[in-house]
Amino acid sequence: MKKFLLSFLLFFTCVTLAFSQNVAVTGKVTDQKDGSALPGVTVSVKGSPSIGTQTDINGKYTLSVPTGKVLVFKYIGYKDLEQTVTGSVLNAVLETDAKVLNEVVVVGYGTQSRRALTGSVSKIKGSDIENIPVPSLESAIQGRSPGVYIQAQNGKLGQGIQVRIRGASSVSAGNQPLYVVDGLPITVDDFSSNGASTNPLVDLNQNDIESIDILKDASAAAIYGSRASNGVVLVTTKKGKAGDTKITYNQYYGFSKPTGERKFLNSEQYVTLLREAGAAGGYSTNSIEARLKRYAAGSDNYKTYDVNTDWQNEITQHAPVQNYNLVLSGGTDKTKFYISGTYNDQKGYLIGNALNQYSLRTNISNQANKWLEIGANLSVSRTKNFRLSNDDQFSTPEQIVALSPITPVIDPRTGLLSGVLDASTGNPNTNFPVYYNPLINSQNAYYNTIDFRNLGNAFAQVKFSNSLSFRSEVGVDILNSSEDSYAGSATARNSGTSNGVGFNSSVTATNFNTNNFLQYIQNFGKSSINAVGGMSYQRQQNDLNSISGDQFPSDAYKKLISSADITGASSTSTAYSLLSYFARANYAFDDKYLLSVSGRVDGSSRFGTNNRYGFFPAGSVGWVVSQENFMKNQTLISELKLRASYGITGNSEIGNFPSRGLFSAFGYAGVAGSRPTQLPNPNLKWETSATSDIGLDIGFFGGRLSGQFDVYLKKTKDLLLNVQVPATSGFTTITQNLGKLQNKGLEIQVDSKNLVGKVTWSTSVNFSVNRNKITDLKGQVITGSGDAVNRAVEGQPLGVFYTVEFAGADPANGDALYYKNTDLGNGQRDRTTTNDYNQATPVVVGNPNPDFIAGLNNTVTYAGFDFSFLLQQVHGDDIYNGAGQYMSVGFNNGADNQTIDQLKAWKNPGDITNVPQARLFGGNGVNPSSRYLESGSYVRLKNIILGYNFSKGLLSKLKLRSLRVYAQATNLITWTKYSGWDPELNSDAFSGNITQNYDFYAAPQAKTITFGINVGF
Amino acid sequence: MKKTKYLILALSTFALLYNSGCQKQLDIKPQNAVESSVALKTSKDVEGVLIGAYTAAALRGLYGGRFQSTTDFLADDGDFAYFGTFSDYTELNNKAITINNGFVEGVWNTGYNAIGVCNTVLANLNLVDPVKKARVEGEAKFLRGMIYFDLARVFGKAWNDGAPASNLAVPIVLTPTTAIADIQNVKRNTVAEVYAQAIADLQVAETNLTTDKSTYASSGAASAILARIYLTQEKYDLAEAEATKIIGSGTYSLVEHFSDEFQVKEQATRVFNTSEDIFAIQISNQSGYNALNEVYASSAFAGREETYLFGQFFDRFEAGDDRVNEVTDDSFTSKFNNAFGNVVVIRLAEIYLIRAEARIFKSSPDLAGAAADINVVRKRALLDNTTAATAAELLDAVKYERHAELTFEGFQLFDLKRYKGTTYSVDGDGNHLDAFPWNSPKLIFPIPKRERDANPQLTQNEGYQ
Repeated sequence: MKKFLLSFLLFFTCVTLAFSQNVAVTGKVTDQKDGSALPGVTVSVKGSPSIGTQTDINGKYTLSVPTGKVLVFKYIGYKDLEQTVTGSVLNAVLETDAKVLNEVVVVGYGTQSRRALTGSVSKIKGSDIENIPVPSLESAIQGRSPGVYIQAQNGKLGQGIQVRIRGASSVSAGNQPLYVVDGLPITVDDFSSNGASTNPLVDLNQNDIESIDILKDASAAAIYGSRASNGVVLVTTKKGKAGDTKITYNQYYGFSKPTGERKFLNSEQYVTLLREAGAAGGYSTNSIEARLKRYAAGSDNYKTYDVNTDWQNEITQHAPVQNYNLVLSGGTDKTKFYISGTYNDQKGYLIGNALNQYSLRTNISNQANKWLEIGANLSVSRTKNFRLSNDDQFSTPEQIVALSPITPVIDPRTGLLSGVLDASTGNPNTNFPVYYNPLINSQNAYYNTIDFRNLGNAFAQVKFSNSLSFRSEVGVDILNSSEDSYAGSATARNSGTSNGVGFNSSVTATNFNTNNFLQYIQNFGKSSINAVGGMSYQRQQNDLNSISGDQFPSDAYKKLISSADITGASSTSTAYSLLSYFARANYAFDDKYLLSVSGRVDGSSRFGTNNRYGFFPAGSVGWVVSQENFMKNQTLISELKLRASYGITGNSEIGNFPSRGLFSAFGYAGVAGSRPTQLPNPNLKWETSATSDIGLDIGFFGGRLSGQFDVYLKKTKDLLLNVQVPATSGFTTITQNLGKLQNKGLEIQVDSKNLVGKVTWSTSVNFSVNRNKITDLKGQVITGSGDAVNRAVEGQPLGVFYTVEFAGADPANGDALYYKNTDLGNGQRDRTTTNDYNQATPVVVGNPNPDFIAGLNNTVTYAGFDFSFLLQQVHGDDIYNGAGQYMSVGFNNGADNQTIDQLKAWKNPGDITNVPQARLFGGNGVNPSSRYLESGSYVRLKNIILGYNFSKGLLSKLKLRSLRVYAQATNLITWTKYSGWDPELNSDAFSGNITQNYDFYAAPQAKTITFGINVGF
Repeated sequence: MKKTKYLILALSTFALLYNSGCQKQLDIKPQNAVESSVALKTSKDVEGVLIGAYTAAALRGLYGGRFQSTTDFLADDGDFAYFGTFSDYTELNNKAITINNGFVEGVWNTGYNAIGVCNTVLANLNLVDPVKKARVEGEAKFLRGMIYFDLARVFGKAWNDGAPASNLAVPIVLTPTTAIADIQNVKRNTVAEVYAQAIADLQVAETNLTTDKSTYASSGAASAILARIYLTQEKYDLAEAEATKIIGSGTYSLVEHFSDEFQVKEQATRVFNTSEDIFAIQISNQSGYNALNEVYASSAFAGREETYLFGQFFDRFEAGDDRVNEVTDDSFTSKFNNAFGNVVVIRLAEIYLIRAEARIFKSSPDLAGAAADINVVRKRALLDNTTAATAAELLDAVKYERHAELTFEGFQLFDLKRYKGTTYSVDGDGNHLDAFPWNSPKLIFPIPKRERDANPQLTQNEGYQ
């Protein structure tokens, strides 16, 4: 590889020398706004348009021209500029034309002006998400872009986040977008071992981000081929600019709290209802009183409700967040640099949860000579996450709500946390409190994940001529993630061993990538062409080691060297590679008619030998109506563009070896054996999505009001399905390309500058609708994890809640009733009810996918003050409380404390209620049903900021360049009818493609308030 | 333009060169598992898959414990109550199994997975060294035969319930699936056919394997399952003969104290087999999972502490029976107090009781022999010799011993059916609610819904349609 690059460079060195013969006027064209280079600017001699050229990728041009002539600089989205030639150097600074959409968007392997764009791309500026105290960038972009639905799992720090661009396009393969940072597709694998996923994007410092561009339709994304179906998120990091070195210091401090609380029974209510449930469940008074006494730490004080513990209070802690960021950037015309260092220290509001991170980024570039530019973008970071057990563990803080309010936090018999010590045995309690007390974990166990991450990308760009250049990028993303945990002897009831248990693992993910491509920009009269073509190769290997052991001398010994019994050790390795060729050509005629075609050939190690390569083409057209003569005479519409695109993309995120027949090794009594674990499928290939998109960009009043509208239809076929096969074959599932689904939707983005001048006020609204529908699963029903209430069912959106329909409590006897819903064959269902769960037919009772999502952002500035707020809305989704069968079931499934709605339980014949009779261990209404389903709609004040920028006058006295102070709040207010903790959730123990909006003791999101200062020197 | 030509030429050359290098890069071999094309090349490979068959049979869904526990939960009439959160167990205990019951599905899926591994071994016997061939075949057929027998008796009607020749059990599959095209929608075979297949397999195992004590399958283990089958089929002479082979071999002996049979907490577990064990699933903290510990043990012993014993359980024991003390720990059984202990599938005490029962009913009854066998078991339990004399009394004595001796070890459902008894669902205090006679359809597992969705050829059992 290296040799290849070297030869390439040498070869082009010779060619380039031949180019530089003319005596010429040279110069550079830059953007007045920020001094950045403008490539593709037409430079011609006034009066003789045949003498002309255009700027190269660095904004530079060379043109042979007699002195005294006037040069005209023209560029889409900018005002024309005329300048007289006076010497051999003529630089030009172009001013943006407010009348047109002039944003520059990053597309795969290049950039494009919004004006010339025919695909669907959403851009989020780095400045919008700076200093927002969320653990990762996805949370920061939530609500800011149409068609991008982002759902955090829960309020634990650094946990996985679900991102769906234009809906889920797969049932069993990945549904997360491809993330590309400065041209390098980064590692996004989850390496967590504790059953809850972590998010590798946490390692990216969001203050270093210049922009995030989201490629949504096939025209924009197909250049990423077999990985583009879920959309592509292009992250561009900040670069230095020529000029004085700027030093910027940012600091913020704040604290967070949970967004919500669930209401549970107090002592009196608990004792009363449990007695009632005990009697109804056929338990003698003695056994119930004995049970109550046990939960009350052996005291009779439960009878007088002396102890009334609110366990939810016990799991929160003071949760400060602090962030320090120092940036140095600047450079000369030749060399530019951006250096940034950040320290972030965040405590979660959940006891024991914290994240601290330091990171350093250096981006440098150097114009080595006229034809060669080299540079590197490097970042290193270290992130330590003090983690918690997954939502399905007795030891996760939120499961503390199952404990009885009559149980004291401190057991008066021992003076220790309830559950730590049973005085009669000298060991931890085994049946007190009712379940393991998660607080014991916070004092006696830890689970820490440390990520070291190097993200590096070096590039060289060779200019052959003003039109043609070659760029080579070589990048590596090395992620080392290690986990270290110890659970002490006091956790025996939960960990299963009484002398401590330790676990340690380390994974090294080495991801190598190179992109090599030619860029060609040329104008011919009224035509202009912008083309790119090249190849890319990527290989990722993950090597993992892990070890676990128990039997430690005491809790003072926590590392596995002290373990007397190593219970498990393992090393694994997995890899994939991708070899690709890609090309794209954009053609514009007279700035009115736009055409773009692209294609990519992807070869992947993941797929069957019969289908190793795939081709992913896309095309799009645009018509800039506002450039037509008939539009010139009106002033209302300043910009009008129609767009249409169609293309094919793929999805290959299904693990590395799904096409191979596999045997795996298993040990038996110390002897190794093997057995077949997977059947071969040499025909296996990527899932294919065909996406059509029709868009309209419109601007009014010289750009004061602008809008982008898109409608799309994404049809996915060859779904990779874990197809259920008869177990009599020895296998239960095989991976096959079967099935189809589709997403169709509408996206609207409207931006308005309501007020300009002394007071500015701008509003940005986005609104999107996506309708997902599984069109063919070959008759299969695929269930999600958890209670399997989330299903993939033909004719329904992915993940619908498919279960028995609850019909309330039988007024006669308090039994849970269900609608039979037997299909009567005439399109009707039997609406009579039954108390026999098995008699009721499961039906679709809800949908975890929202009807629409929306965002509203307002920014007001006045005399140094700036104020902005972002409202985010998710509407029409349902949430299933998987823990309802324990916490909202009238003790029918155990003595877990109950939610207060259980006070409405049926008591006497004739009672009309939706809550069946409380019967201890009675199983009445326990089974999954629509009883546990609720609306998940919410509106959230996602972000609100009030800032003040000190005046220039004061700054010059202080010898500062800039000074800003601000106060900010994230998730400050949430409006929802959901009775749970927070409506934005996906249980970290169960979430997946199918299992969505499944609540299972999911900790609520954090509400964070911060105060910050930015100083520029 | 000339330059561009050169450029294109050069680029394509490099692209070609690079391409040919990278083509190979797309051939990445899996490291954590091996491809089937290289998995079965030598005798050692096939012997490895035989070990794999034990690991498959040892999974928690089958002999790792849930075969035993699901059937005991279904048969229980109030010896214990389940206060846990696995609705699968609650359904079984209430005799109200749903077609989605995960543990029932687990028995089916795990059983057929293990059968598939056995079939892989048997289809590749040609690779095995000639001197090892008989043993490898025998062990694979032991596992396959035992699993078919057990699947037939939980998914089909009992042998003594109607006509085994027409009652449906489970499909018989004797060849491995190696390609997608091999997958077939098989139909259920009859109870008689599946029993016949099991007997055929076990007879090969009995012949091919030695009578030496082994961690793996042995001739004695095959004889033991044959004895179980013949007892179920009421072929008492054959059952007695098989039992006598085992007892007469002298390979096995009862441990001195009843409690010695059951591993205590944190006892060293690797290859821990008592003198009494005939076949046990080998579990260690390195491999395997003891699902009986999970469901029965108290949390002090790493169990889920969800299965509480009622007074009825204790009341069933005769005064002075050592077993009641030895197997209980407060309100829990202490049989499975080692989370990494082996799961014993066959032990000698059962064989004495099989022979006792066979001797009572065989063509020329041997009541004295039956009493002698019963007394062997009673003696170890520190009880006096049985006073039973008549066939009926002796049968009651066998029933008592089987309960006292084998409780929680996966025998109750099959004993209930053989003895044509009645069981009951119970309330939270152990009081009887509804009665379920031995031949109630509720005491037969449903064919799992998942399996019937994947294979429409499978008919459902009565009461689950």
